[in-house]
Amino acid sequence: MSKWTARKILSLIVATVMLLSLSVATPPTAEAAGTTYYVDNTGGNDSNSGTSTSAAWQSLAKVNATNFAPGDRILFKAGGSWSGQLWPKGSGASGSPIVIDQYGTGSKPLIAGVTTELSTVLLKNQRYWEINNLEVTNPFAGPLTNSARGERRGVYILNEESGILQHIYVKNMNIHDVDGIYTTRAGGIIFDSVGSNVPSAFDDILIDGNVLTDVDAYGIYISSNCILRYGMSDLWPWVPKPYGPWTPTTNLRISNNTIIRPATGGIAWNVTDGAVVERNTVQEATYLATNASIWWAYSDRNVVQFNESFGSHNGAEDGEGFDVDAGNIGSLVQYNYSHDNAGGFMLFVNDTYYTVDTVVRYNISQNDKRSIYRYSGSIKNVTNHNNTIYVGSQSGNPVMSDYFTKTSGSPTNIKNYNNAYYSVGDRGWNLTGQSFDYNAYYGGSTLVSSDTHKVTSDPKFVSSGSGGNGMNSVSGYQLQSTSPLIGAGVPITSNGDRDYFGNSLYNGDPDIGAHEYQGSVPPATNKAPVAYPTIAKAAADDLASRALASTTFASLNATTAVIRNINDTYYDYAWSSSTTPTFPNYITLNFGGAQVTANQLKLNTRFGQGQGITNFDLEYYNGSAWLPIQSGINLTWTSNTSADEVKTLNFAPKTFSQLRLKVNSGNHQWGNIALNELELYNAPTNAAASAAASTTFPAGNAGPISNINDNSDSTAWSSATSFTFPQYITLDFGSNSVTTSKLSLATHFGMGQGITNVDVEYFNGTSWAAALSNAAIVWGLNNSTVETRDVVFPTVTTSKIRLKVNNGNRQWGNIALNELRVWSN
Amino acid sequence: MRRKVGLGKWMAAVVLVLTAVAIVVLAKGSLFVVQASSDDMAWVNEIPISVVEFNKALRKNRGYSGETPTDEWKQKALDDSVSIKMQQIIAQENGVWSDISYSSFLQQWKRENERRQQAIQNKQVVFGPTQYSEDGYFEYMLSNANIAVKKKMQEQEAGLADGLKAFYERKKDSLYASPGSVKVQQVMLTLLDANHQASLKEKKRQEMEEVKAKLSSGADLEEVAKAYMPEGTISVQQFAANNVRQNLRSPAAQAALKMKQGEISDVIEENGSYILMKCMEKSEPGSAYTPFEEIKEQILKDYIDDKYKEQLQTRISRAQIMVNDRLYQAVKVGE
Repeated sequence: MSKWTARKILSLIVATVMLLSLSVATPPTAEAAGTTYYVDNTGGNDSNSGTSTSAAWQSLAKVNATNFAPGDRILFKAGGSWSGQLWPKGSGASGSPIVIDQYGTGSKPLIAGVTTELSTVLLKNQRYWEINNLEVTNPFAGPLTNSARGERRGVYILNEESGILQHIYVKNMNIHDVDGIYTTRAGGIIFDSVGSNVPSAFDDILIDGNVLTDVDAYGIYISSNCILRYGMSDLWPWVPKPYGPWTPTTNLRISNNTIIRPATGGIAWNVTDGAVVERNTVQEATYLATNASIWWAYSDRNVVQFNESFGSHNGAEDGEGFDVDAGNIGSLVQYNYSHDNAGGFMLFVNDTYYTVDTVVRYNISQNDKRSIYRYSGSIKNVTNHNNTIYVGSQSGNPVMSDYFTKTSGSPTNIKNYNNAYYSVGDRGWNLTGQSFDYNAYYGGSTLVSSDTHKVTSDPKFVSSGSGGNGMNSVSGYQLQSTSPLIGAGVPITSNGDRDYFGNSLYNGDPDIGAHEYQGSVPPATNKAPVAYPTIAKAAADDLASRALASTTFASLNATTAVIRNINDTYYDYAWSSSTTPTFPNYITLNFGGAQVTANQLKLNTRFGQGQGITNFDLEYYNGSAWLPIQSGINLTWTSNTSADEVKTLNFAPKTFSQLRLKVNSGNHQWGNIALNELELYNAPTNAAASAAASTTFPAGNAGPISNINDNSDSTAWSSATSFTFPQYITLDFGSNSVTTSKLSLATHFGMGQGITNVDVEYFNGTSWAAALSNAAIVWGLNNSTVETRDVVFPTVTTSKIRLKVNNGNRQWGNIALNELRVWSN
Repeated sequence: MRRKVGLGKWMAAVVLVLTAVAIVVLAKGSLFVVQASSDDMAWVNEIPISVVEFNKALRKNRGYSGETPTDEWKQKALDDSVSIKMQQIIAQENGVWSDISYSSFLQQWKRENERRQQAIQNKQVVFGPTQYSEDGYFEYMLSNANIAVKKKMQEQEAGLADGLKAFYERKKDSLYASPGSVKVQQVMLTLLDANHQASLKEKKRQEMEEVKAKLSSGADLEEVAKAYMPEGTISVQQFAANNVRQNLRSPAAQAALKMKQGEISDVIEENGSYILMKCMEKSEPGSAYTPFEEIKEQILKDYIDDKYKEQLQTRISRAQIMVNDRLYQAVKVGE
């Protein structure tokens, strides 16, 4: 062997070692006690104990025949490969999951699927599992349309009539060449709940760090047949019937995955509550058939952020980067990068049901094609704000938005604020159902002339159209110091507090587009903020929604009139009794093991004169007996329309695990009684009412300082017209110390005389300390309407609290305050 | 391309080094025998495909089995490696990928992951994974490079408008035959009351059946609907047969797609409404072509994709592809 050849050998070895070292297993972290089993396809033997690398098992058959216990680990040898199905049995326990992983060094252990098994890795009705670092395939010859492919999957997690299954993690897998047919139950990683008899779903799902390449039909899909609620009743024919009552998968997180060339959609989820889908890349979706890259349906409170969705292939139908699909209540789409998608950026579609309350903010769309936005069917309440949309020559000549009325209805109430549209050629908007204000339009046919506060000059991006690989490359959409977009937007309430690039909001007045300019700008001009339109619902701190509701009344039906509608937080849906109710009967909120403290009950009934509860006793369970809180409570309903009518009952605070209404009578114009929503709060009380108020401001002529804590918005205090900041307004609670984290200021003519900047200070027994510094307060009106602004700070317990007033609006010289409330629980 | 996997047991691919140094040319390009020695697995127009790159392709294809698994697997891996390298060469020629060696990619991948980690620490924006896997990032780079190349091709394409038209005419049978659609006049009646409850179900169903009876005896849908149920909604709906995802969960869409012109549907229940339809127009799949103007953006995309694919194939077929036989023969796969 020559010297030269030896050098080559060395470099080859280096190359091979480098390859191996890239997929070294992460060392196992110790959890609960359990047995570690090793599986080695070449050096193992099934007659071994399996409990050491030198006595490893060999086959999948051995693993599949084993019932594993909580805390067990099943480690496959890196570089090894197995053919067939992996279906280990057993379940872990809370804190002691069963973990699958690799050991040794080398490429991830391969589980190569075989034609006869539709699922290469399977868990069925099992809980507390973590599956890591496997390479998984499940190929089948023939095209997508070949039904012999079957519902083929890489990893299939099936919950069949097993109620709630907890804690399934699928992490760092390399899944490729899975050739299933076009259904929502085929693809790379499929979670599937079938709950026709026992409502079934998952809780605590993590799908993280996986790479899925050439997977058909979907990359990742969360499927369920527990969909029935509010009259929603139609799913695809391959989803097993009968459908179960809407039972959402909770604590679902899909993150850090890379999905490459899925035949249809990249990531999709159904029947979930609170799903977070973030930091995924979906590329070249709809590779073989129509679909959308990332979409969701029949799900509540969705958050979709920091994803890159690009290069979808099929724009004949759909084909957008993101799709808020049917039956979603509440979706937030933010900080994503969508580019080069055949169908466009955002699809809002609802062919058969309805979707409400979608916010799309601080995203960038570049060179998306066909329909940048598509609105189709009954979509209600969309707010698109601070998105930057670049339509380049590569987009072709797309429409900015199109609009379709479907069987389900029409899109309504679509609001567009602070968006920057930059186009080299497009076919404009279908404006039906939409309103535009404070947007910037440049080039193409983007201009919406009805936009009152539009900007139409060159937006002066740093370098538009320059986005490419990775999010750092979209910095071209930042604003130059001379950009007319700086300060030209309108403030948005609850805006997420950051722009696309991670900057805080706002710097002066809001900017248009996804970037909030960070240089020196003029101070904010107190523009009136805009809030997101939403359907009517209970407040976020409603306690009733945490309980299981039940009733001893017979219900009108088992689908749309169910008792859970009274604590689903949505006012639109009601429970109805049968048309022949008998009295008394009970409506109960059961908090399980949890103890809650409450002091306020609210009942909302539409058509209350026709079907409202008119008399009830309120009782709580003290652990052994039901005790009265208040008896013989009369309700008089004044409306017989579809408007919400809310009755509030305040009572002395009580702590309990169950609460019930003994319903003694009700209006039954149509036979039944009904209740749209039952809300329960531990309402904060205004501690200021019992405090002594004082101030260092010189007095003005609106009224004494005691007007700020007389619990009346209609009386006010004002300062003199001449003074210098800062000055103090103090509330002294005397010997009753108060625990609080929020106060509110109520002011009329706030733009003319409202306080605009405060520190909140509290007395710690010896001196004043800051609870919050430099809090800005923005007023939106300059008329007699009293506006309220909340100031929230870390909780303090104190006998005195004061506002250090740093600034205020002084149109007439003075500042004023109608009411200062200090909220204590 | 997906292929069937065999039932055999697989060993991991190993590259053994033999001392022979002959290099022969394989695959699709022109044939050369080069008297040279190297530790690269193959060359595309003298641009090397490293052993690491070839191993990646082997790994990706290791679920693959044929009559003679070893040779076919190796051949498939080689074909894939050549195709990827040629895509990189084209990207390089277009100025969108400066250094296409694998070692340079690895450096870039590591830099990108460091950048991501840093940016997240600094609360700056990162989209996509916190850390890319090696394979994931390579696919990401390649896909974006191809998009950038296609953008340039589009910008440089002379006579794009004519080219598009010609492409549409040439490809319309395979790509733009109408997927089929049906247009219906539809009357819809909610069976839910103001509280979204089905208290009126039986009554509404009866109303709908009455309307259907009238229609079947020849009455006009609009008039009958207005007369019998003023609260019903009348609209015209069109269903495209290729929108599988939407149609298959809509009983109305599925019924509509089965109707013949002039036919009246049964009363269909869908998400809290009763629906009755009369088929106004029906276009069978493949009976017409989707008009050019309606799908111009898709045609543009398909046209450029097609041009790119053609260029890639031409370039591969004309390329001088050399394989390091010494290494290639040493690759032992399967058992």
